[in-house]
Amino acid sequence: MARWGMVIDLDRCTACQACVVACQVENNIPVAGQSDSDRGRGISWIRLAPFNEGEHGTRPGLRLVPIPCMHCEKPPCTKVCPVKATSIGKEGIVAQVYARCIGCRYCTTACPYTVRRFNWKLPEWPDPMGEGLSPDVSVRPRGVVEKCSFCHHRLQNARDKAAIEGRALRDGDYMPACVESCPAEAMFFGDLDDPRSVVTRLEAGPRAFRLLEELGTKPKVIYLSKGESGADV
Amino acid sequence: MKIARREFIGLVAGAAAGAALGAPGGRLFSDALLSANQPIYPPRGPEQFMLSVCTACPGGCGVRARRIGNRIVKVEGNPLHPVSGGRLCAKGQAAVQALYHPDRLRLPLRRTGPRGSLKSFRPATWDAAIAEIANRLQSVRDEQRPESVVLLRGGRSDTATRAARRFLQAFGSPNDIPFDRGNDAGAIALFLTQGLRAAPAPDIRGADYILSLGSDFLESSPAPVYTARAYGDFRQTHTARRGKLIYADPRLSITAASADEWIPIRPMTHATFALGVAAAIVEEGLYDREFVAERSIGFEDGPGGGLRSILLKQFSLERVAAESGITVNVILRIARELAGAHKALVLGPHNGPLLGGRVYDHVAAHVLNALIGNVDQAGGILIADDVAIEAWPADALDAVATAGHRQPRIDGVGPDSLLSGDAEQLARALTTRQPYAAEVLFILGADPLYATAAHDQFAAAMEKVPLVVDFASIPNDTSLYADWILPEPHFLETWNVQTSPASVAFASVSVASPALPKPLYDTRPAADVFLDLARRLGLQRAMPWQDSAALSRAEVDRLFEARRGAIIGTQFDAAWVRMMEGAGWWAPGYASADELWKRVSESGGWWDPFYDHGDWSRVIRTPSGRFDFRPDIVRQIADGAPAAADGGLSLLLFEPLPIAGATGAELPFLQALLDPGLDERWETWGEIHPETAAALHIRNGSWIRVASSRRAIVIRARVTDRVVTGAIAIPVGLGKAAGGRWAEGAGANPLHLLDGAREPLSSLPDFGSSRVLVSEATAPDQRPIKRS
Repeated sequence: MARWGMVIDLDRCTACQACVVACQVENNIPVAGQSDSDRGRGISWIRLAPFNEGEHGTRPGLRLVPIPCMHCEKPPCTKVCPVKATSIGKEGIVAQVYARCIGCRYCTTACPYTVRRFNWKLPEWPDPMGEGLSPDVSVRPRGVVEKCSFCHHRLQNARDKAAIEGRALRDGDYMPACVESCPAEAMFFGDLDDPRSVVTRLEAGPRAFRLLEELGTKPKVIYLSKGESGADV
Repeated sequence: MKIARREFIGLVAGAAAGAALGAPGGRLFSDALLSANQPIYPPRGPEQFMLSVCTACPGGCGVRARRIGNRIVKVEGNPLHPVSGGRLCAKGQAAVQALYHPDRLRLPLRRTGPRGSLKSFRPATWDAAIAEIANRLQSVRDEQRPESVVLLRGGRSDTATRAARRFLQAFGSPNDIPFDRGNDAGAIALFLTQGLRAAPAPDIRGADYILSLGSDFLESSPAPVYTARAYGDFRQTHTARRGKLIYADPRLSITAASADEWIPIRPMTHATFALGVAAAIVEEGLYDREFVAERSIGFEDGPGGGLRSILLKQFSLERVAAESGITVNVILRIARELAGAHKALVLGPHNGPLLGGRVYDHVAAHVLNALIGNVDQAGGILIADDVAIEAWPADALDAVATAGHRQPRIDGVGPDSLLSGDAEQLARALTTRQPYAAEVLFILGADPLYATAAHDQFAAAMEKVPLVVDFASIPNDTSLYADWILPEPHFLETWNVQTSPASVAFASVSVASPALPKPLYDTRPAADVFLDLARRLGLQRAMPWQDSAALSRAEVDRLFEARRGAIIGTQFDAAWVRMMEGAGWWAPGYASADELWKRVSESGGWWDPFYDHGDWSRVIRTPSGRFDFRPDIVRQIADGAPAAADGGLSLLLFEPLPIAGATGAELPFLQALLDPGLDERWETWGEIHPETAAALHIRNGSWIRVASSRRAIVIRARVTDRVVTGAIAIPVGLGKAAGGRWAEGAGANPLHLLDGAREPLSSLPDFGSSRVLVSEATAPDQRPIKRS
């Protein structure tokens, strides 16, 4: 069984935010206008977080890091959910079951990466924007928490396709929308248990690190720092 | 198989919750779906992938739209396409939002009231629009004044633009006026040094050291996805060592944030800094002696001394350090690194599709490129290859047209001008009716009221033109002053043939067919409008096609006659074609025009991946046949006074990618992304250094008034050391008078601060030299309206 993971190469990343919009379109994220946006209620499952490393000397002290759900091996969010609306699956994807979620937001507080978003109101699509909605992803009601699913619906489609072809699912069968769109080709996705996969090789490289590793959450989103790496991909 | 309860719920909530939208009547969250004005039903029908070309910017990415039934639900890059490589930027991803935008024009609009407000327009029919425009054009032609028809067009290389240009040609007007600010200065610098009119195509992928002189290329390249892909490979590939990026500019842009080093030069000192580096390279004898000796003029010789003597006399390290604010050590180190790098590249200033930098700075940057010998080398400055696909019959111009073409251009641009088009002069000419009056003004893919300096003069000028026709999908600032706004289809609804964008070196032709079975609204492609007008005016000999579909086919047929290149394909295919063509072979994979058409329709395009480096007769077309170091221009830079510090702050402008080119503010997904570093969205801000802010008693987050000699805007202050002292950096792209519910009233337009100052050398508007007064303010008069 695959253990899905993502690698983000911060040396290739240009902070263009294509991943943010690719995800919003793919996952039927509602339109947030200015007033929602000003109150921090706009939803995005992946965002560019600024890390200001003090004053800007000759070395630019601004780092912009794309942050999706880390799909932790030991997710703090699932432990606090009182209704088991969120859980980690066999393939390592941390899922959110909207129908069970009671909107208590313990999980949004527990998540050290702050990637969980709460639906403060009914989603809106001024006519005819709703026509662009994807049939693959459910629309969330008011009062539930949502987050990056590693484009789980794409996994389902890939699994169906593999089943039709009579074979097991394998590395490379699917990738999330953000990875597919990344203009700088800075994002990689695959099976971290497959020793031949690109993500496994990158994970073992000298530039690999995880966010807030010291918390012991064991994220399955791995970053590659800037700098020389030698043979890589 | 036993399914645990939790797994079952997971399935329902995750992917298979397609059922949530998938089954009519079986919707899980009916409240959510009923929250729209009308219930939203899921798309039904087979899944198809339709090939097209994104026109959200001039970048020309080949895309693949996912269609379910009769709806588009996602747009991705076409994996075979050489520009997009299967990737897509935020703007391209938001194309679905643009397609289904609630404020798209659904019918032609005729102005019936005063100019300047959408309330003055009434819906009309296409028949009425075409009849009125054709009548006016006919009377102009009857009066034998074809030159009084003017076209102002943006920088696209698409079917619509070619059709409009051809219409002007057949009609007999010389006034085909490009409005392509982002590429002007770089192209002029290339003309001055290499003698040819083309946009430079920097080979970022092939370089291993880049000195960006304020080229914010990761944010504002003419082809963002192509450039981002090249940048990724520049940084990390398995074959080359990691490229190094140095960024010299007064502002720490998104590109600078990715750089290895930011050199915060003072405003208006790009050229001085570049020539200081050049002087150090010459002083230390590190320049490319072979190129300088064999392929250039003006290094040792020239009236009053060549480049070498000017550099050594005028650009001493001490002077450059004093003016640019950068220490001698840093300048020397950059000079040595640049000259020592295997494949170094210098990029002239570029801050977006509207902000192409100053010609002086581009000339200085290109002089530096030539000194390190990277002209037309891998990893250097290449010259875009192109392929002619205009399928227009020759000798189709009648006597009226021939006479019209003898008239001077209304904007004063002639064959010897450095400018390709002059929108500000056009405004003056329209107002004064000199050299002649204009009767009809077509505006295609441009928003001069937003983007010209002294925009109110352009608005006044439009009053003087009896008939102004604007093409738009969502009205822009200029549309409000037109007589007719003709609704354009979204790119997913139309035929299009697009050639390579600026900054891409290879020739390519991308073919888009409609991704939807029929357009959502009563829109018409601009190409169809011009073909229709040609028919009504009896010009069909010059433009014989029924519609843009037939025209697209004819253009691809012309491509067959070019006898080169190949259908787009995998990297392996490209390597194969490159090898074959390098050895003088051409194995096209198509034997007839029909087969070519079939195969480009299936794959999305054609290209010629082979680039012939060092074809000097193609890339250097100066009278001497050599690269000209232009000691005369370098001397002008040396003699120019350092930036006058006559009070106020230097105004630095930039264009965030989501709203670059004055498009994007109409889409809420893009409004939310303006600056991830400062967490800015939905409003215009001004970046001020903490020391400068303290001197002006400005606090972070407070409202400030930014005033020029022309007018003032009120924006939010962001106190940050991302900008040097004595300057304010303001993004361009918001503050629109039109553009739908999400764009109108959000932010302010800093271009409206600019006076009509022009660069003496090129007479391009000088967007870099403006100074503004900044003071505390109360909240802006017009608070943005609430947009839920």
